Amino acid sequence: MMFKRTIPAALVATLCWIAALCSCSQFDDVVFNEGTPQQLAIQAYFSKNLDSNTVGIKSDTIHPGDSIILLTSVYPSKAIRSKEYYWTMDGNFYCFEYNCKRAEYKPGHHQFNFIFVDYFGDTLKDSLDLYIGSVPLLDKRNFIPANNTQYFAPSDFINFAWNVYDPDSMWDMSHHFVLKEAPGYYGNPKVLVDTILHEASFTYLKGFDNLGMYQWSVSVQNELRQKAQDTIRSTFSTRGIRNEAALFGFINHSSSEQTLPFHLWLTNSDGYMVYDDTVFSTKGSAFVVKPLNPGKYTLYAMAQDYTDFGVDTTKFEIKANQVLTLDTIEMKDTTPPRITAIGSYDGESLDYSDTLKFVIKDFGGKVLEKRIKVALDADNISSFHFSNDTLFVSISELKNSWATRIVSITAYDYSSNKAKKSFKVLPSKTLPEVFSE
Amino acid sequence: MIFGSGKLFCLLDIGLTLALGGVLGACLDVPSEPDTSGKVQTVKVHALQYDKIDSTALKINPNDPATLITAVSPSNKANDLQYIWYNNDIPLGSGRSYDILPNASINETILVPNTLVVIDKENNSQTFTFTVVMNYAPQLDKTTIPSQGETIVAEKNSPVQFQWKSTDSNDDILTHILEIDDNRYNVGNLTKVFQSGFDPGEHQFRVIVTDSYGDADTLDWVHFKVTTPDAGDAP
Repeated sequence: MMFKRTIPAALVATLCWIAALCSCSQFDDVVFNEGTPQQLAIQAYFSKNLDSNTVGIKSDTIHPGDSIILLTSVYPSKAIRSKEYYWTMDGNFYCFEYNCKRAEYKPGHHQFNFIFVDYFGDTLKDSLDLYIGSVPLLDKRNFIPANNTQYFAPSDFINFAWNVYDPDSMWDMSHHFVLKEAPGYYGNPKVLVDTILHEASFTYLKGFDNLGMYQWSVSVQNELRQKAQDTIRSTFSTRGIRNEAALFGFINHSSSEQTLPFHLWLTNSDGYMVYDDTVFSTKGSAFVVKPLNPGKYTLYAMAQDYTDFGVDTTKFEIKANQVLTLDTIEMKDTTPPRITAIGSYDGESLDYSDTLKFVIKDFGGKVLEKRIKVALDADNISSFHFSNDTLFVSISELKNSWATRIVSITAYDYSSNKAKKSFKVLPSKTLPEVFSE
Repeated sequence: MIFGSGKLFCLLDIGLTLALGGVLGACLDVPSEPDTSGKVQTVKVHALQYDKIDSTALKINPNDPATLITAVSPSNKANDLQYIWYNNDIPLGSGRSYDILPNASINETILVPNTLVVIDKENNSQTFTFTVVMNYAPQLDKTTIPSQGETIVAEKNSPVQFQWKSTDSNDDILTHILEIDDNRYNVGNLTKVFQSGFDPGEHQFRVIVTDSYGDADTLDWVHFKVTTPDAGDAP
């Protein structure tokens, strides 16, 4: 019954509405005005903060649990009329706001779309790519061969293997594997392998030198370029022929001077010198002595021309085929510079002269003028210069002084040892002479 | 007033809709929703071996008996269908399931179904093709270095050789895990490594090999003893 009444009413209403439209519309006035088109554009991006002025990016990589900030720009303005706008993540609704901030956890590649439906029903879309990945874990304790494995036959094919764990179980890994000679060889250590692997093992087939020491290292990153925090660094060595052995060592010194020559010599248990060489040591320079017969030895180290470092003595025993690495030899200069006054009778006082002369000597390196301070009584003065171990000090105040004054000299050597010595400068005039002038 | 206006629009809407519907109804003979209640929706083939169902890879070990089974939805229609198993065009048998007998020898090639033709009571038929993966599990040889009970003379820094042999009839890529005492090493495809760091005393190791289908073989623990060389002996 209701349908019978409403159908004619609807038709009538529709016709009336169309008629009204026709009568009300002035079709001649509906002219496209090409002078006022307004281009509508949207832009979506990731941001570090909610400030819309920040520089955004279209693709980002985060760790699970990190927050992301999605920002949008709408041109000419977000105030224009629209039907709807929202974000989707992997095709599913994400949020209704222009800007969203949320933590994301699921590892993998995710695509975000900002959908904007304008007043006329046109849809605009902008996409962002997000990669969520966990940093790979590299086991720096358990690997093959273990650190400091010795006695490998030089002809052995050595297999290297290490453990890498991908918490997400989804990313390809790149392993940066480097195998090289250990420092100690003359010249730069030779790099045997430097390669990127896609599996956690490597076989070196080319063989090694006798009594060689080698270093290998592994660092890992996943395909998102997230690097494992740890790096494997390990060494191994090869055996000698006829049971010969080798000695590896490092020598360090306390001087801030970059390079010092150190004389190294080695005596066997019978006191015969079996090795004698000079190592120019920068910080932690390496040296190698091979081949050596098995036995007991004493290694002496002395800095040539720098006797303040003294002589270091290391006793050790080396076995057949062993490549022994000694603890680093630390050469320390603990002796401060020596300061003396030229013309001093007693080493503590000297007569006045226009230029006072002092000798500053150090046997742990050259003394530099910039490491010297001169003071008259308690005041530093700068009227001095240093040349060929001699310090020349000119102090005009002393010329008319009738009292004994104290000149203090402070000097530092390259090992930061400090020497300070004060000298009494006796006056050349008496009080009446000074006042009469 | 608000409700009154809403009612008026509602009536207008219904009127327009019905009017349009009447026009369409006059032009189109829209069929009713098909009745699917009495029809088979899906037929799938699963592999059953070791009491486990593999519905994805259809992977079986040819050394042991296995069964291909059909999963019909709805299940109450399963008995209304006829099932014929083929290897390409060669009919192998009929029935809701197909038993695959184990190989008599590793060199023997057995025909395994790769096609299932399902026929209903009206003689309508549908053909399903599939691939059964015949995967032999990898095998570890019992002979290893060190061998069971072996005594090795080594200093703590000496490399001790570990070597084993694994085979796979399918020539799959094999990966190995070497377990020495409490340490576990993923050694990939390596079958020989040197490891050091052994204190004098009893130790043990074993190997687990896995193929690309996840089938594995595990070696029993191999026990070995490490002693230090006598003084003066070269390591």
